[in-house]
Amino acid sequence: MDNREFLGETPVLEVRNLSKQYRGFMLDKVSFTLPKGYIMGYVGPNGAGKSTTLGLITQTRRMEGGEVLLGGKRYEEDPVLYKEKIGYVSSISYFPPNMKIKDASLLLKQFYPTFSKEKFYHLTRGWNLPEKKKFSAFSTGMMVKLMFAAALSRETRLLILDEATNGLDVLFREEILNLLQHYIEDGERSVLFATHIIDDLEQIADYIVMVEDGRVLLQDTKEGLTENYILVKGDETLLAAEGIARYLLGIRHSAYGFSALIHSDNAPLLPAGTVMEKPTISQIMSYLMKGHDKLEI
Amino acid sequence: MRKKCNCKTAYAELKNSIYGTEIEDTNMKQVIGYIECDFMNIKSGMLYMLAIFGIASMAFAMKNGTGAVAYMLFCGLVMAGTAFNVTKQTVSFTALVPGSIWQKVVGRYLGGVLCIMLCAVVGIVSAGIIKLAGRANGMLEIPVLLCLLGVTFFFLALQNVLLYLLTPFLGIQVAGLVRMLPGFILFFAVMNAGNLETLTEILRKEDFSVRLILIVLGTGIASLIISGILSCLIIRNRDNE
Repeated sequence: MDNREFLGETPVLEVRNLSKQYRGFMLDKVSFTLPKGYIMGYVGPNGAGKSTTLGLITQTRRMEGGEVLLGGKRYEEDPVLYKEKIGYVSSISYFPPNMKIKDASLLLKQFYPTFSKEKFYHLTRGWNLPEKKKFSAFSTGMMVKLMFAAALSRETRLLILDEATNGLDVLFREEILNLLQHYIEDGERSVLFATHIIDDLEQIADYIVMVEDGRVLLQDTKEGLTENYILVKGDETLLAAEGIARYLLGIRHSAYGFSALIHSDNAPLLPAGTVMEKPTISQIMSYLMKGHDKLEI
Repeated sequence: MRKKCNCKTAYAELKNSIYGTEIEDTNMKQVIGYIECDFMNIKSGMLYMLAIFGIASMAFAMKNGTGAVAYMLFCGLVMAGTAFNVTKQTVSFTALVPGSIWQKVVGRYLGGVLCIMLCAVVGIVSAGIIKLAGRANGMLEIPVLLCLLGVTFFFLALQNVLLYLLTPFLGIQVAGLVRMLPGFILFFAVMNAGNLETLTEILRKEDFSVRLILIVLGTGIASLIISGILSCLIIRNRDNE
């Protein structure tokens, strides 16, 4: 991701050659940059390494290689300020189940210097979160709202969503998406949204990073992605056209012919009779991740 | 004229230049936060334990006030171990909030010490109630109590390093057994009636008692410090800690 267009402004997040090894999985030199005031979608199938990457960024997992810079600073330079700047929301609660809202408020005040109890209660009461119930009795949606309240009650610079919209009803998902747009309005804050549900990102993401098997497959602006790839459909006989098959990505066969993705630079090579469409992000992801053996231009 | 050096202001300015904001020293704040976190996790079970064990300790107080406190120290040790019982989450709260490994470990250890002290107070109160009711057969002796505290701290040190080492690898039932084991050894093997009488006799020899108390308490505190360092080394490369 090129920062030159941002006139030398320090990006909110820089990830450089991030690596982590587990048994049977390796996060392999993941790099990307998130500038201020934007939303980045971090997409990939289950097990691609999204949560691992987020864990390394939030310092809940131990780094084995690479570095993460938040506002130009590493975690070691100021651990308290580093974590203060990050708000984290997940589909699974990180709050201990025996706690109540009052307990969470007391603890958050203890750990985060910029935490505002008034803002926290304003949000929890606005979302009708029960103050007398333990978190173990909260629904999934309630826990997500609670985590948003905890994150938005502090002066954060980066909001990280780890599959936060999974299993939520349509109305609340809309509310979250509006909330994220509002969050970045000041141009100083950004959102890193990890998900395998692309529909949410189609609406709000400015940048997309695709990962699979621990590696970055591609990264670009949302518009760049949809402009750089074309979805082609046609008869099976078209595949036999000279050398065209080697430029097609993720070829799928059906009773009606084939469909595949092709880089827009290679579009002139397509024979007549090929149907061309502008793909959606989810289609790009689907075709690339099922057959990403070729990315040549 | 030479300006007088205001060290406090200079230190505050240095901290502000590093941190960039007006914040106080956060070390103790984080440690207290971790203690609060542990207590919030265990508070409902802790209240039940204090009540049930407290009432049971009165039965021990009828024979010997020291026995009541020894029983409550056993309770304190078990209670301190329940902090390790928190359901493992994908991302834990304590891993997410700002804080270093040593702050978390110190918070856990201090929380354990607080549990033990709280239980000791309940034991003393139980003994006092039975004494006031005229049913007690033995005195609660302070030198004995201080030695028991030292021994309990030693067992807390052993328990914590064991639990830091083993908890990620144990199933729920086995973890429960491992948590109870140090407390049972402490109460049934170390602080049984025979050993308590022997200790009481030894401590009644005034020329020796002070030295023994200092040695036992000192060993208990030193073992907590060593155990804490070992615990930091154990968890420093673990995820989600």
